[in-house]
This record gives sequence, structure tokens and C-alpha cells, in this order.
Amino acid sequence: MDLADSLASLRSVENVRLIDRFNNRQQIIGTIFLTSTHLIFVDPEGKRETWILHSLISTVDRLPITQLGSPLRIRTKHFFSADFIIPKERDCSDLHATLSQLKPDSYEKLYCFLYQAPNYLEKVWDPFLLATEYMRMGVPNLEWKVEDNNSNFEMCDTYPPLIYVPTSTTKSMLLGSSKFRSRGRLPILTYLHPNGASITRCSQPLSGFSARCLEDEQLLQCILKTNSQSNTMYIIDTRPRINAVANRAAGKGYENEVNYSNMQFKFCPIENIHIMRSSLNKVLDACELKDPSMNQYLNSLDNTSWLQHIKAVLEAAIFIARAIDVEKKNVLVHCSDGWDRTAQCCSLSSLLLSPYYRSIHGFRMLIEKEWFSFGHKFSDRCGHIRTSDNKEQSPVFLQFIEGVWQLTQLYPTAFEFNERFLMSLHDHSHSCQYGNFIGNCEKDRLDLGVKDRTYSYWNYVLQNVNDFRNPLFRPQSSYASEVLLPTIFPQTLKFWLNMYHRFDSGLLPKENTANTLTHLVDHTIALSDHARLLEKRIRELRFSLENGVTTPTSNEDINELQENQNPTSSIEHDSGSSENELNQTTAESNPPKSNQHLQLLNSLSDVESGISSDYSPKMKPFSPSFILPHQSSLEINDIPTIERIAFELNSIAVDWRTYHAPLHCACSSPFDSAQRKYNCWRCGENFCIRCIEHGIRLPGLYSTNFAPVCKTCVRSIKTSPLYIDITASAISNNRNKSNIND
Amino acid sequence: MVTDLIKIPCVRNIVFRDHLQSYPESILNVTLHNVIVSLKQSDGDLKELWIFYTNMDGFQAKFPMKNEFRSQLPTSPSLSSKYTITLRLKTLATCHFDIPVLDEAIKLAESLDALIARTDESTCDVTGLFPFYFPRDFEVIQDGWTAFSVESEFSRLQAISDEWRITDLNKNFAVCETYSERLVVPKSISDDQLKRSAEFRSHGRFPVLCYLHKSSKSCIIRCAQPLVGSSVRRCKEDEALVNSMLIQRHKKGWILDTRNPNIVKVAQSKGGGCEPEQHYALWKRLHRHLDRHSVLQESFVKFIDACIDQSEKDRWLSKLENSNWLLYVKEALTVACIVAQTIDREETSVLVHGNDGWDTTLLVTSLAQVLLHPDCRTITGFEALIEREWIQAGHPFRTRCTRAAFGKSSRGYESPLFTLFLDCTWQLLQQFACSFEFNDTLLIQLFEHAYSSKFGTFIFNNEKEKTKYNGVKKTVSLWSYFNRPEILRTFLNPFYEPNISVLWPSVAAQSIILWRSLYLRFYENQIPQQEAWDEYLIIKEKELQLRSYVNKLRQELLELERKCTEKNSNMIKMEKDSVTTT
Repeated sequence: MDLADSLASLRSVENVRLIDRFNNRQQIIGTIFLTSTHLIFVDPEGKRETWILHSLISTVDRLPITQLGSPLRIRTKHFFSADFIIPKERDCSDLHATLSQLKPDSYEKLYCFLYQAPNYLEKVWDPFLLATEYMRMGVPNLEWKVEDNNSNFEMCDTYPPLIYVPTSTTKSMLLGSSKFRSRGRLPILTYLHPNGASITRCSQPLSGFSARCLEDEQLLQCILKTNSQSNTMYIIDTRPRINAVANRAAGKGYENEVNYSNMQFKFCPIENIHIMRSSLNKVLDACELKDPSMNQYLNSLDNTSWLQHIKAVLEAAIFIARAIDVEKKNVLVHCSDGWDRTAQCCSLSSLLLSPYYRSIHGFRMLIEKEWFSFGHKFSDRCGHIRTSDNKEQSPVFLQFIEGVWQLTQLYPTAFEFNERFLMSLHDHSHSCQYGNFIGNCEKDRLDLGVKDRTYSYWNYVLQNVNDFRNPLFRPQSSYASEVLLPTIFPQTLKFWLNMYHRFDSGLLPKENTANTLTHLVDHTIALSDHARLLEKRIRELRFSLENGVTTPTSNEDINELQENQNPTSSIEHDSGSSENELNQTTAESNPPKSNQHLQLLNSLSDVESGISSDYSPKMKPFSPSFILPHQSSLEINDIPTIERIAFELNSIAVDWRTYHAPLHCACSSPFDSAQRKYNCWRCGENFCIRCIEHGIRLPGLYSTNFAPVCKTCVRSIKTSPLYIDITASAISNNRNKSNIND
Repeated sequence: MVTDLIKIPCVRNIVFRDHLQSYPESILNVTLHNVIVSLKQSDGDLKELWIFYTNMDGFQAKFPMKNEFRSQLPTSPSLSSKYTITLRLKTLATCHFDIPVLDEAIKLAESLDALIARTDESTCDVTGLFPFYFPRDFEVIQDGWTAFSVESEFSRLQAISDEWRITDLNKNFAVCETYSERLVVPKSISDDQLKRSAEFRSHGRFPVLCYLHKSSKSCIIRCAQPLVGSSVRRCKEDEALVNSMLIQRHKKGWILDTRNPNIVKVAQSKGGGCEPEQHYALWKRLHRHLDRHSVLQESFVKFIDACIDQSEKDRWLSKLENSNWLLYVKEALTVACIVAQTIDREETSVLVHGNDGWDTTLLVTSLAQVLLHPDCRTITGFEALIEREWIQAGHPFRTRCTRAAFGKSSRGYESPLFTLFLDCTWQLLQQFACSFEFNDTLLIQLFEHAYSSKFGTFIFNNEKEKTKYNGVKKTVSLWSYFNRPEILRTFLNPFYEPNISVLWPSVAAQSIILWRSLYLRFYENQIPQQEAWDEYLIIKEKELQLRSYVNKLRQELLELERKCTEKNSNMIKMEKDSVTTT
């Protein structure tokens, strides 16, 4: 492999100083290691490891030589900036040369084709069907139909194979319109509001100074007629008027009002990709300021105009949402090519209009539709490969993500997902770890075969969905269930500290409420699961006291399985469908052990449970599954042993370590405030993600879900003789389940 | 007569508007202390809104001339009979009254003008203010006037060190008019020496103890500037007093002057100045300038103007920058951190003063205590801190809070120092969301009451004035109102976990943020944030309940287990018995 070759000459550099961005005096001396995928900086005590994924590196610059050595500044696309001082100048220039060559020169060399995910992820792409999303909106219907004109991408190579257009259109009309639109991106349906008003999107017309196209004009009239509530519709050009006018000289431009009757034209001035790119660069420079005075900082923020650009995007989206919901008019949105500003505005206004898109699942659908299917040029805009023109790079997707974030700040209870989810989406649009973001359109991804060769980002999200949930989400709140039409003042927008300064933990709040909330929610889930087991044990003991049964055995009976199938706890209910999906998939990924092994375990457990002389038969008469837990007590014959109850109680911590107490994980890596800590459900201590295992079922839980447990506790549980007992019973339950199903 | 100022007692059929809502068919009543607006709710019920004259910062009357109307008529007929009075409140709200009849509007404007002017500190008798007429409408559980005595704080001090005593030197405010009657001073210094020291300090504000740190026993001392003057006078007793407060003699203490050297020079020419190093050899001097008085007031006015400017032209960030308000927040926090660092890390004492020792001095000493002392982060502790470091220490609340961000000051003595203190505290709350027992509701309430209140807590300039007007008997303390379960509940922070360590906040510019829930609370829809807050409470409550439920279940289980074992052993015994009998 080429990459390996270039790395062969340089594998590690020692005695490197990592300088803190804001505090020159704070330095760590350590070693840089280069692997084929990461640059890793390790301090000698191994306390801190800094991993930088090659595909996230945006710039590598050599700074003027100092007394200590040659400084190398690495900036990443997820806003990490590190200054390394390398003692030998030669090493520095080698490192610089190597890192500069890292960017792959073809799609085939992208990280997603090398990436080996952890075991729990599989290369499964659940098929996203654009049709499902349209079906949800009630399309096709009387007004709208699906057309397969583009099934081989012959009409427009950046559109999906199926397109949704008014029923009254003809194939020739579509073909004619597509020829009149830049890159063949003709007007197609993207969102249909319950009131019948719709958002359609396209690219600019090739109108120049005088050209016109009858088919295009007819198509727009057809779109207008789909909505009987209004006899006019909006054409929104999301460019500043002057840009639109300038495009006319190149034979493009905007619709001539004379030719399009009953159309209301509106410009929403959002600047082009070049201005946005330079604005973001100014933001990065502002972030680099070392100990600025308050006024320097505000001034530099002001000069970036970044928040003004975000405001422009949001205002355009709000205008569209208002037109749809209040004025009940159709809206056609375009910019130049209809894949940057148009994508931003259409997706943000859909988010405002439909509560569905504010759920994790719905948000995914929104991105699949507006960004993936309709051809946002991720590879070009994010600069995935070396061949792509640097001038093509632009933070278009980031602006969309930040627009969503600003809305989540305005309506903290209206969104099912949290800030971490938005940041993860942004980061993975650059990381090239998952195939979803590769290429510039669906066709590219199809040609590259990403679905067969890479992992899907959504699969990763699903597996870690608990990390991405907003604990404040209140589905029944009016903000979560209605159209949002905020008024955006300049004062409304905040600077996204957690995004742009996320690696500068010194600047961030020391105590993070979002993480504290997640901690509380996790604890609630653990406790309610445990409480259900306690309730069950109490019923069993009561029963045995009342009926004089004194024969404790260790195996659960089928009833427990029955109860498991009917979650009664409110917590499980709240958690929604996607979590259940998660549980299922995790359960499947760890298939039960072989039967032989199982029998061995069973016999072992019998010996362990000891006291019983009279071994009651395990197969009980099949009981109806809708028996409430307290009624089913009659079926209870197996009374748990005292040791077992103690073991169960011991496996769950009632009180958890407060979220803020420890500054270091047990592995001695320091916690910073932005980082998520995980509590071990058994000992209740805080751990970093690397010290927590997710593959164990705790005996103290009622459900058979995997729980996060620290490595020490995993060991101590696994070595306990009683543990085998419980696993065995869980597995035997599984077996019973399959028996029953048979 | 005050009643003569009321030109019109009642105006009917007005439209009341604020930034978020509008209420037609409202009725406005003009009374002695406030205007009462009866708002017609959407469900037909009336809601009463009381706006005190002390809360009114300024008002504008917009009465277009008749001919102006005519020109407007064709385009906007709705404006045809509307005379608008815009009220700007000290709580930062803006509200509008649209009055249909010109004559009524003029009379109302005249009345308001006179009645608002009457609340001016320079012209108004404090006993004429509403707190003196406020009939207490709640049960007092703990009387706020006696809740925070010097003695209770002193008993905490004594547990740490017995080198301090309470002096009655200032009985009847004989030595210092702006201090309270009982003060904490070193045991080794006699009252006579104190008296001499008082003569050597501006306004008689001699050095007193305000905070003693538990671990290092170092302390924060505050006072007014020494009257050194251009002849560089000295006072042996003052030197002895200051030196006696330095607990560890081997370490030099710090004298923190909140003025820059140039201002000190000016002050010196006027008889004031700063401790000369040759006479205070055990101390090092540090100048950290904090702006005060009209500079701060102007900044506040500009800042609020920037916050509520909703014009199309987006100049928000540059206006924010120009106001300098966040700069002052950053500076105040930085100086407080310096003090905290000296006390906790360097383990030596700090003496803080500016000119008079009742403005920036208090800002620094109180903020430093929030950083250093976990008690100050509880509700009662914070109330005690305000009582001790602001009210009893003689911050002239009434003078400083006569006008807020919109009003024209008559004498220019207004200054939002207390607001700055609250803002800095909020920044800390923001960075340490779990270390405070209270939430920002308490801070917002304090802000509002400092400017306009039914209670007597913030209406006096110092303790002497309070005694003179018999404030304790004749008015109700704000703390009496706060310290009741139904009010305290609204102040609680669900994330609170007592944190005994010193807080080290980030004072970098990036970390200083705008306090939206105060400054923008009338201009942004607050309901979504309230909903989020409710959800916080629910999540916390759920977790607490589950924890106690699980504990209960566990106990029950163990109890059952015990019974089972008993029963088992009984049965075994019985079996054995039966065996032996057979």
C-alpha cells in the first residue's frame, strides 16, 4: 500500500512537546506515533493520548523555529488545533511532508474502505427508501406522482432515480425543464405539508438575458395548481439579488417574471460558498486568539460575520415555513446549482414545519432526502480527496448543523436528539469513516459500492442511540408537536462554544448540565429495571412464606420470560422504538452459547444451589402472557436462594458517584467537562468510554439487557460462581423461548 | 399634596402592549404608589398588573399632531386615534399604552411625569415610598431583619480562629456612619486604636474583617482609602491594625487598590491616596482598576440599548463590544480570582479598598467569597453574603439604583454595581452549574428588588439611615418574603451537589457570556426555556423517588428473607423434634 510506504520512513518521533493552545506554559512532552490511519501523541506516563484521524486533518503548517525546536501546527476539521514542537528540524520536515501527503488522491483510498468497526457494528445498510418517506407524506396522491425518468441518471446525474412531480406533468415537460435548468436539476417535490402546500426545489434556470422555456413555465404552473388554497406561489432565490443578476451574464440567472405568471419572487440573501469559507476561516482565527481582551474577542467575532450568515440561512428557512404554514402557498426554492443553499433552506424549513423531523429517526430521513439523495457534494465541500478543488470546500453542511443547533437552543424540549448528535454528524461528514458521506451524489456512492464495502453511519447511531438522546425532549410539548416559527434577532444567536472550542476544556463550563442530565436519566433506567427485579423477588418470597414452600432453586421459570415480553415499566415505555431496536440488535450480535456448554452450566448450577433435594420440573404449563406480574405469583415455584439475592443486590449500585467528583478515570486518563462519563451500574463509579464494557447482563436487573459495567466489576461478576448460574438461566430462557416459538 | 399630582385617576379602553403580547380594552388606574393596569385575558378574566413609580425608569409620550394624523390616515386607519405612552421599567421591561383620547393621554403623561420625578432620591422622602405602606400579606416564618446578625457570622469565625472580637465602638454610628453598629476586628487592637484608624480613613471606614479562610486562616479585609494626602500623613494605629490582620507574619500581605495609580494620585491630591509602602512594609501593593460610577452606568445604558435593539441593521456584536459591559464582568471576575488565589493558594491576607470602600471594594470582596466559601453558594449563605457585604457594609443602594438603564439621572450618582455583582455570580453559576444551591431565578429577583421593591431591604443607603427611619419596624424585609418554602422552592437548583472546593472559573473572553434570562427576558419568548426547566425538575425528582423506592424494596426484601430463614430453621427444628419424638 502506498500509504504504508510513505509511513515506513517515519513511525515515531520522540521528545515532542504538545503546547496548550491558550497557555504556552502548559506543555506535555511525549511521543508521536504514526499509524496508517491516525497520528497518536502519547505522554510518557500514558495518561493522555491524543488521537488524530488522518482524514480529519485539515492543515499542517510549520511555524518559525524556536529554541525548543521546530513547531508544527496541525488543525483538524473538527476544530482541534495542536502545536507540536519537534526537537530535530529534520523530523519536523519529514513529519510535515508525510502528513501533507496523507490526503488520498482517489475515492478508493478513503478511510471508510479500510475502517474496521468494533464487533457490535456490522456492514449492514438498512435500505433507505425515498419512497417510504414520500409515502409518509401521503405521496403519491391526486396531485403528485412518482416518475422514473431518471432511473439511470440520464436526466440528472445528481438526482435520485425516482423523482416526485405534479401528476399533471408529462415526460416531455420534465425533460424540457431539466434541459433548461443548471445541471439538469429540474423542480421536484421535497416536502408536502399536511395543509397541501409544498416545497419544491431545483437549480437556477438557464435564462441568461432572454432565454425562456415553455416546458419549464408549464411545469411551474403544474406545481402551482397542486395547491388549491392559493392562486399564487413563491419562487425563492436564496442568493443575494446581485449574484443572481451576475449569473445572467453566464447564461444562467433567475426566472423572468414576465414569463411566469402568478409567481411571487423573493430573494433571500445567503452568501455563496466562497464567502462562507472565508467566514469560517475567520472564526477559526478568532478561536486561535490567545487570551484576547473582551473587546478584541467580540470584535473578531463580529468581523467573521459567521452569525450573520447563520441568521440569513435561518431567516430564509423561517420565511419558507411561514409561507407554507401561514400563507398556505407553495414554495419553489433554488440557488445556483440547488445543492448548497437550497439544501440548507429546504431542510431547515422542513424541520420547522414537521415535528417528525425533530426525532432522531426523522432527522435521519431529512438528511437522507435533502442532503444525500438530492446530491449535496459532500466530498467536494468537505475536501475528502486531494483531487477536489480547494475552492470547492465550504462549510455548507456545518451551517445547516449549526442552524439546527440554534433552534435546539431556542426550543430545548422540541428535539429528540442532542448536541452530541449534531457534532457527531458534522465530524463524520469529514471523517470518511462511514460510506454515507462519500462522493458527491447517490450515483457516486452507487458506483463506489459503498453499501457493500463500508459501514453505515446510521447503524453506528442506532447502536449508540442513548448517547444521542436529548433528555429534555418532551414529545407532548407544543413545541415538539407544532410548527415552529421563531423570530430571529441578532441577539438570539449564540456562539457555539461546544463546537468550536470543544477541545479547549479550560474555556468550557466546568460543570456540564447536559451530561448531568444524561447521568440522571441513565441512573433512572438502571434503578427502575432493578426495582422490577426486587418487586419480583419480594412476591416470590411472600408466596413462599404464605405457602410454606421452602425449596429454593436457582433457575427462573418461563413466567419471567413472559413478563419480559410485556414491558410494564414506564421507563422502558418512554424510551421509544429506536431503543428497542438497539436492544434487539445487540442481543442478536451475541448469539447464545452452544447447547453442550449450556448443559454443563446447568448441571453446575444445580450443584451450586445446593440446598434443594427436591428438584422441581422446569417446564411449567404454558401460562397466558398477559397476566399482570402480581397475579402471576401463583405460578412461582422457584424461590431464589439467599446467596443469590445477595449477589443480585450486590450487582447494582443504588447510589452513583456524583457526576463531577472524580477528575480522573480509574485508568488515570483525565476527564474534561465536555467528555461524557459513564457510570458502572454495579459500582456506581465514573469511567471513561474505554473503561466501560457493554457486554454483560447484570443479575440484579429484571430485563436481560446489556448494562454498562466497568472492567473490574465485569471480572468480579464473571468469577463469581453464581454468575454462571444466572447466565445459564438466561440462556435457558432463550432456549425455552425458541422452543415455544417452534 | 401627592394626590394633587394625579391629574386623572382612571383611563379606560386602552391597549396595553409589551414585546410579546397585546391586551385591548384594558383599564389603567393611577394611585399614589403605582399604576394598576387591569388586563383582559383571552378567557375574559381580568389580570391586574401593578407598576410602581419606583420601577419606572422613564417614559416617552408620542402624540402626533392632528395634521400629522391626516397624512397618515389613508395608509393606516388603525392609527387614527391612538396616542401612545411608552414606559421603560427598571426591571428592563418596555410597555406601551395606546390611549384613544388625546386629553386623557396628556393628563396621564403629566401625572406620570410628576409621580416618577417624585421617586428621585434627591427630592423624595424615603418614608413616602411604598415599602412604608406595604401591608404584609404573608406569614413570616423567619424575620429577615434579624436573620443575619454579626453574631451568627462571628460564631463561624471563632471556630476557625480566636484572634477576633466584636466591637461596639460604632454604637449609634458614632465612628462611622456607613458601617453597622457591631464590627469584627482583631482582639489585639483596642477601641481607641480603632478610633484613630477611623479618623485616618475616608468616611471613618477603618479596616474590618470580612472573610476568614478556613484552611489558611488568611483573611479578606476591607476599608476606605487612607487619608494620606499630599503631605503623606501616617497613622501608627492604622498601621498596627492592618498589620495585626496579617496572620502569618513571614508572608507579605497584599493591598489591592481597585483604582489605577493615576486615579490614586488624583485622590492623593485631594487628601486621600493609598498606603505608602514605607509605612506598610509587611504589605505589597497591587492596583487593579475597576470602573465605577458614571462610567459603569453609561456602559450599562449602552449595553441594555444594544440588547433590546431589534432594528434590521445587524450591529449587535459591535454595539455589545462598544458597551464594554462584558469587559467589566470579565475584569470584576478576574480581580475576584486574584483575591481568591492569594487567600487560598498563596495563603496570605488581602486588604481591598478603592475610594470609599462601598462600591468596587464590595464587588471584589463579595465575589471572592462566592469563589472561596461554599456557604455563599447556598440560598441562605448568599442572602447572608448580600446582607453582610452589601447592605451592612453600606453600599448606598437607594442612590445607586434610583435610575437603571433607561432613565435620565438627576445627579449622576447611579451605578449598577450590584447588577454587575449579580452578573458575575451568574457567570459562575453558568460555569459551575452544580455547585450552587440556587438558580438564576434568585439572582433575577434580587436584581428586580434592588431597583424597585415592596420591601425595605434595598431602600436605604446604609444601616444608620435604616435605623433613623425605623425601617426594621416599619417595613418588611425581603428575606422574610424569600425564606418561605413556597418561594424558596422556586430558587432551588435541581443539580446542586455541595462542593466544598474553591471555584476557579475561566475568565477568558470566550467564557464570558450574555445573561439572556435577565437582560432579554422581556424580549425573547421564555416559555420554551421554562418548559426545559420543568423537565429538569421532573428528571431529578424521578431519580430521587426511584432511589428511595429501591431502598425501600431492598429493606422489605431483606426483612422477608429473615422471615424465611426463621421459618426454615423452625421447620428444620420441628422436623428434628418430630424425628426425636418418634
